Order: sequence, then structure tokens, then C-alpha cells
Amino acid sequence: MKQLRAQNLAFAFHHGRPVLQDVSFEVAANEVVYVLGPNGCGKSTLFNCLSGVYTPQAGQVLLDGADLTHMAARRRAHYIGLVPQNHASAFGYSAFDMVLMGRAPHLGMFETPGRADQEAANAALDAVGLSHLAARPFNELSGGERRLVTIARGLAQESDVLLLDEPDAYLDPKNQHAVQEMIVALARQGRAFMISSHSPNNALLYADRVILLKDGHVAADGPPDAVLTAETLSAAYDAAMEVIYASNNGVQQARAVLPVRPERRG
Amino acid sequence: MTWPSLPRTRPLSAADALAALKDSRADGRLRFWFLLALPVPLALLAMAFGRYEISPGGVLQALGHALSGQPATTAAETLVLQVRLPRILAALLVGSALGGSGAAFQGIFKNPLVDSNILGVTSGAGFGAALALLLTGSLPLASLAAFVCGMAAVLLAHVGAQTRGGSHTLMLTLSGILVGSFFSALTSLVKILADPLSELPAITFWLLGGLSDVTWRDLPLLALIVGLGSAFLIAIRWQLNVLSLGDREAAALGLDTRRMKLAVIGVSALLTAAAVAVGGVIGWVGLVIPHAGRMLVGPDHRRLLPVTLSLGATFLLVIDTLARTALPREVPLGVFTGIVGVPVLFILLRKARTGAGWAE
Repeated sequence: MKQLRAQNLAFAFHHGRPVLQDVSFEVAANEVVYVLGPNGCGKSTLFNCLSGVYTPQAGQVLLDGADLTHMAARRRAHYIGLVPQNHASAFGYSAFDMVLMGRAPHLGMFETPGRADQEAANAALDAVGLSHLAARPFNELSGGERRLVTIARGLAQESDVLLLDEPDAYLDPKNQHAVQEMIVALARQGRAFMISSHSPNNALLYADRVILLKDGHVAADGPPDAVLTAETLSAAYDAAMEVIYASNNGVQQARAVLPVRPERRG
Repeated sequence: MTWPSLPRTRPLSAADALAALKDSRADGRLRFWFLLALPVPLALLAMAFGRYEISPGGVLQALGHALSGQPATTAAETLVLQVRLPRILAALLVGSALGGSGAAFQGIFKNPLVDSNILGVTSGAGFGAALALLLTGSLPLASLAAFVCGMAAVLLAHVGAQTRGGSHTLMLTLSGILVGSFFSALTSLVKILADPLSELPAITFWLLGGLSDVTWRDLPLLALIVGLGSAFLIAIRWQLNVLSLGDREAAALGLDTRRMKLAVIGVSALLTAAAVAVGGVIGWVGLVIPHAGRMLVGPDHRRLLPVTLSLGATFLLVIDTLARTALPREVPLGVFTGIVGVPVLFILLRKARTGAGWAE
């Protein structure tokens, strides 16, 4: 793939106020794009629209010019995958079986996974460092381990674009770092990733570009140092934020985003 | 004082874990094939049981004669071929239809407490049979009406759930409960109108379920529907895993959830309606069997679905054999599945662990 393009996307639940309005952006291959924004700004809805879970009321999602919104689900899932936020299964599938389900778009309606699919699932589970939990029931794993298993499922899907809805939630600092480094490394091999997050600091560390959503529209879109400024973030989150810079070989670099506590103001 | 130190376990390496996974699968394979083969010897055994005892050798001899195309020569052979064999085949087919459709329904409704009556199929079928018995008193017509009304009930539940927005699965469950209650009320109305001396006993007996009236004539259509339906469910057994994650995740994983769910619901309803049309209202199989299957082979539908088909057949065969031999008077199947099925389910639930296929 070369480019994912969202064009004037709009979405509203029935009789509700619009969740997304006129959302447009582009994501190129090799890119890691972070989507930030306050709770309820439409991040998850955007991902659901991009991945075909919801059909947007207006606008298009184009991948190299092909319209994903009106494509057969199976073909679309080759182009774009989604790692959703919260997850628990009604049945006690093993972690391995869970990852294996990522192979669904590669199999026909009456096909069961073969050796190649098993190997892809093994490799994905290995990539997130959880091979030793392969046989364990998914529902018995910790929140962080489940997160890693669903991420592995997304990897096993081998789509051109992978959307990850808050992959850093529930993960300890080491795993947050490991997962995001892995994502950056995979992106450099030609895939593209969009990551929704509540951590501007993670965006600062790993993003090639940041899209800031507010009230269902794009408030800012650009490289991390352009978007992640005290002014833009304070306006987006309706909360005073400050950015800590550090000098790196004489160049001032943004290193951390922190909220400002009231007593320290002024 | 010193505290006892916690026992240390060596952390599993990835290779060990994968080896363990393979081992557990190899263990499971034996059990899987054993469960699949189980109905065959049991069916042969069941043919020997009955008020008129026939030795297993006699059963094999009768079957051998029939297979080689010779007519039955003794009363025992006629009994085996004309009375017991069709009934046993019906028990196997009806049991696997109920067990398999129960597992499929539980999978797509992602709810292990759902059974084959979730969409009102059984209630609809019961009403159809009751009405036909009231109006005509004919058993074959009762079967036909049961089938038609069972399918009509699902269609009604499906149409009732066609709303904009909201969760389709939740609406369908609700709609199914409503349709089921509606048909149950209609059945009660039919019973009130029925002649308490002739029609009412026939209706009541039919509703309690049983295979005592089964003849060869009932089997071809039942076998066709159960054969094709089971083949379809077996073909999409792995996709049922993905569907059981819920509509959104399944859609993101590339499944055409709407069409696939519709197909699974249609086929499962067809299986249930065909089973009810021949065997009457036989409860509990569709609920108990998938649970037993999960206890035995785990929640993966690749194994669970074939096993529920075979386990359903086994369960109903055993129950029906007991029903026709255990007591001096034949006990209706629906009563027996409740009396045996409920304690079995209760024991299973007591023993259930999350690892056996239940969520917390």
C-alpha cells in the first residue's frame, strides 16, 4: 500500500448528535500516526468507521484509491485491521486460538486454519512475548496480557494498515515501550499504524505524526513537535498542560507533557 | 518464626509451552475421535434392549440380512428392522440436530445459556402440532404443521428484530422470547378448546415429546435436513469462533456477520424444527449438550461442534432407550430429558471452571 485517505467522514448514531464531522486526513506507508483527543471526542468511532465496523453517513475511506467503505468485509480486512479496546470472550478460548482468529480474512467461508495460519499465529504471539501463555484460557489472563494477545491477533491479520485502540492501556511501562517499538519497527517495513492514546508522552516518543481530535473534528494534524504544544493541548483537553523541553546537543526537544496543577499556576 | 517459602516453579519457556499445547491437543484428539465414534456401538447395543430381549448376535444377524437384501425371516428380525432401527436412527438424528443447533445458537448469541428454543422455534412448532391435532387428529399433519409453524416463529422473531440501531443480537433474543411466549399462549388456547377426552391427551402427549410413533416414513426428510444442516455447521465451525466474539470484532476481522449469522440462524432453526416435527418438544438437549461438550473438548468450535452433534445423538439414544425400557409404561421423552438433563447440568455447573469454557 501507499496511502490511506479519509475524506470528509461523518458519522452519527441514530437520532444522536454527530460523533464525527468532516474528518479528513492521510496516512502513508511506513507511518505511525497517533490519534489524541479528550474522552468522547470520537477516536473509537473513527477507528470503527475506518475498519468498516460502522458505515460512515458521509465521506469515503480510500486505500490507494480503492473505497473501503463499500468493499466486501473479507477483502477490506486484508487492507485494514482493528485491535479494539476492551475485550472478554463469552467462551474460554485459549490465547493461541484467539490470535489464530486474526487469520479469518485469509480463509474462505468454509475453511479452517492450516499450517501456514498456525505459524503466523505462533509468530505473532511470539512477537508480543507471550508464547508461553499459548495454551492458557484468554479470559484468565491479566488485562495487560489480554491486550498483548489482541495486539498479536492484529499482527496475525497482516493487514496493510492496523488501527490500535489504546494499545498502551493496561500495559506496564516495559510492555508499553516494547509494543510501541515493535510497531515502529513494523511500520518501517512498509505497513502503517494508527494508534489512539491518552498519552501525549507516548505520541512524543513514537509518533511520526499526531492527529488531535476534538468534538468529532480534526483540531490539529502534523508532526509531534508542531501539534504537541502547551497551547494546542490545553485547548484540546480544556485543561492547562505544559510541555517540558530538554536540550539535546544544543537542540531544544519536547520530552514530556504534564498537566499543570492549580497551586503552581501564576 | 520463619515463614514457609512459596514453592518455586520454573518459568515455562516458549518452546515448553508450545510443546505442552501440542501434547494437550494430542490428548484431546483421542478423546475427540472416541466421542465421535460413541453413537455407533451404543446404537447396536440399544437394538438388543427392549421388552423383547434380542441377543447382540441376533441384532447383527438381522442387520446383516437386511444389508444383503434378504427379507426378514423371524419375528426378532422384523422387530429390529421395522420397530427398533427406525426409532434408534430417529433418536440419533433428533439428538444431533438439537445438540448441534444448541451449540451454534450459543456461539452466535455469545451466550452459553441459550438453547435451541431461543428464537421461539420449539414453541411455534408445538403450537402448529397442537392446532393440527385439534383440527385433524392426524399425526403426519401434526409433524408438517410443527415444522411450518416452527420456521414461521423464527421468521417472525427475525422480522421483529429488524430495527434501526441497537444491538441486533439483543433485539433478536428479546424478539425470540416474545414470539415464544406468544405461541405458548396460543398453544394453551388450543388446549382449552380441545376435547378433554380425546384431543387433549393426544396434544399433551405430543407436546411432551417422544419417538414411539416413528416409522421409516419419517426418516428420509429428517435425515436429509440433519445431514445437510450438520454439514453446513461443520463447514463453518471455525468461523463460529470468530462470530462468537461479537458482531463488531467479527466484522473487523473480515466476516460478513449479517449474512453469516442469518445463515447459521436459518440452518439451526431448520434443524430444530425438523427435530421437533419428528420427536415433539424435547427440552434440555440443546442447552445441556453444548455445555457437556465444552467440558470434554473445550470451547473451540472446530472440535465442539462435531462433538455436540455426536454427543446429542448419544444422549438422546440413551434417554430414549431408558424411556422405552426402564419402566413398565413408556415415559415421554421431554419428561425424561428434564429428569435426567437437569441433574446432569447441575453437576456440570458445580464442576465447571473458567478453563472449561465459561467466562468469569
